[in-house]
Amino acid sequence: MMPVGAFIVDQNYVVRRWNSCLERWSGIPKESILGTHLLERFPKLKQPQYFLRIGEVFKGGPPLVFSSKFHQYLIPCPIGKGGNQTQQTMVTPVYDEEGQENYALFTIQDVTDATHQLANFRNIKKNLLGKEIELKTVLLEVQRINSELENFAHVVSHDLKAPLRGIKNLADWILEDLEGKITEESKMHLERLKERATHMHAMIDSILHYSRNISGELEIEFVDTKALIKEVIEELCPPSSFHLHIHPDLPKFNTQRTKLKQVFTNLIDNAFKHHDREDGKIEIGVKDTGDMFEFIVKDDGPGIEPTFQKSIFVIFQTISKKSTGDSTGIGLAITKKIVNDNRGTIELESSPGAGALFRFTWPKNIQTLPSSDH
Amino acid sequence: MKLTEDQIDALGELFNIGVGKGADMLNQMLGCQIRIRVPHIETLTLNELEKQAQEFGPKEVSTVNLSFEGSLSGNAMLAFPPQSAQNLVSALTGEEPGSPELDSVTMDTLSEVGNIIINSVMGSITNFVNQRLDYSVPHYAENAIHKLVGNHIDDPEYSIILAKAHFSIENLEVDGEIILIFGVGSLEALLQAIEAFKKKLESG
Repeated sequence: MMPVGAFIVDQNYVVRRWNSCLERWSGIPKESILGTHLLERFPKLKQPQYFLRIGEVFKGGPPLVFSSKFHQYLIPCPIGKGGNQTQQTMVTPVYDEEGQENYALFTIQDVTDATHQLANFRNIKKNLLGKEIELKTVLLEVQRINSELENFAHVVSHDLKAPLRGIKNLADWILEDLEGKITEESKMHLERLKERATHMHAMIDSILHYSRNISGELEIEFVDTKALIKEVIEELCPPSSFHLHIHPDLPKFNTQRTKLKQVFTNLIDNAFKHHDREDGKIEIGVKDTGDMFEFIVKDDGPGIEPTFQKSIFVIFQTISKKSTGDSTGIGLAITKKIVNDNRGTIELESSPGAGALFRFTWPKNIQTLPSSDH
Repeated sequence: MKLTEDQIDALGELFNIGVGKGADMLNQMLGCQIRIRVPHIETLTLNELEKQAQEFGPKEVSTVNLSFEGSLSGNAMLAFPPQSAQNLVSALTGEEPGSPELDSVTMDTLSEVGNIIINSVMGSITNFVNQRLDYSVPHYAENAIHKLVGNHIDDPEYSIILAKAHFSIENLEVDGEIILIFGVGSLEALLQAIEAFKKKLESG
């Protein structure tokens, strides 16, 4: 039970009782206070907001409440570190046995701890609010930078693509103009020039593509993964001699359809493009790991040398020896970015001559980030 | 026994004197400029009060309750509707409206504010009651008003006096409503008090 400090004064404000709890709290022994005048001992109580209200109790009025919010204490009770208790006080009328003389009973509760807890809570809240504001500022800055990056990529790609088209056209015109007048070697060099320009054109497109995947949020839709993969394969048009094995239990769930489709497109396209045989085999499967689906895209192609395995997810890193227009080395970088942005992971298992297996995880429940105001 | 219009007016005046004294005390204590007025009062049966309380809905109100016994016996309840409670507490304590801190100081603050107002109204009435009354310890509660009415003013024989007071704090442009519900066992002592008050008014 909580200890309660209590004392009684008569109508003349003479202290008649002083309990041991209050002796302990205030440090004032009863011998030194009994018979003394309360208002002389504690002059603060002469103020009208105390004096007038306590006066009503002596006239038989209802009990009084003095809350800790408006009065830290009525009777100073020192606590460590130089402060005083925070108190909640009630003043109740008491009568003598004949019901003639009125007294006022003061009961005091120490609410210091509760008040400190509230103060601590306020500090914690203030700090959290500060952090939240900081995070919001950072988020806004990130959104602003993303938007600028997208604009920048758009402008740069547009500005860079125009002269490249010019170079390609000029090479064509030179070839036409010099038809039959140049050596086979010079003709080959001009063809190479066109090829390089086409490749650079594709790389610039990829930058734009990559930047679009950094920003922007897509709608969540109901997705039948099996149907989605069939759609991907139809769009990629693999040679009919390719064998495709799609796991029958691919999930149907709500997710960002466009993003998931892009991941499958990049991985399956990668398997087709880098395969060294017309009768290659590609297998697509899934495993339920609780909160995530773990998808695999496996091929029986030439595999990837261990030295290249780390760099394949890095932008513009391609292990293809052909520097033609269709392999810019950005597909797997985008794939990794999309998977990671959705709290997933992607990894590769491969060894030369034994095919490649890409394994990526995808959340069953997509949590979308707050969208940008831009 | 029903109160006449004249008696209701006189009782309304007693309420206004009471809440006015309460407001003076709050102003003195807190250095604010609060004004409280009771535009009118009405008398009801418990059934009628319960019906009105039901209409108020499930919103939790903060109340301060005081029971009294003697020649005048019954219960006084002071209820602060949620928005009014928030406005008043935030104005008096400086806490931001809607903050969790406000919740934690609401009980502390309204217990004393309610105590001051209810005591002043009781004082204003009991000045004209000859016998001393015995009071319970003031009790703070939060609940839907119809449940609180059921808990505290539950005697079907009670005569109910309902006073809807309006408070405003001038310098802060804050205002709101305070509901005073008085349930008394017998109107007799109250009528005597009203008559004594009227006589005092007549004698100037």
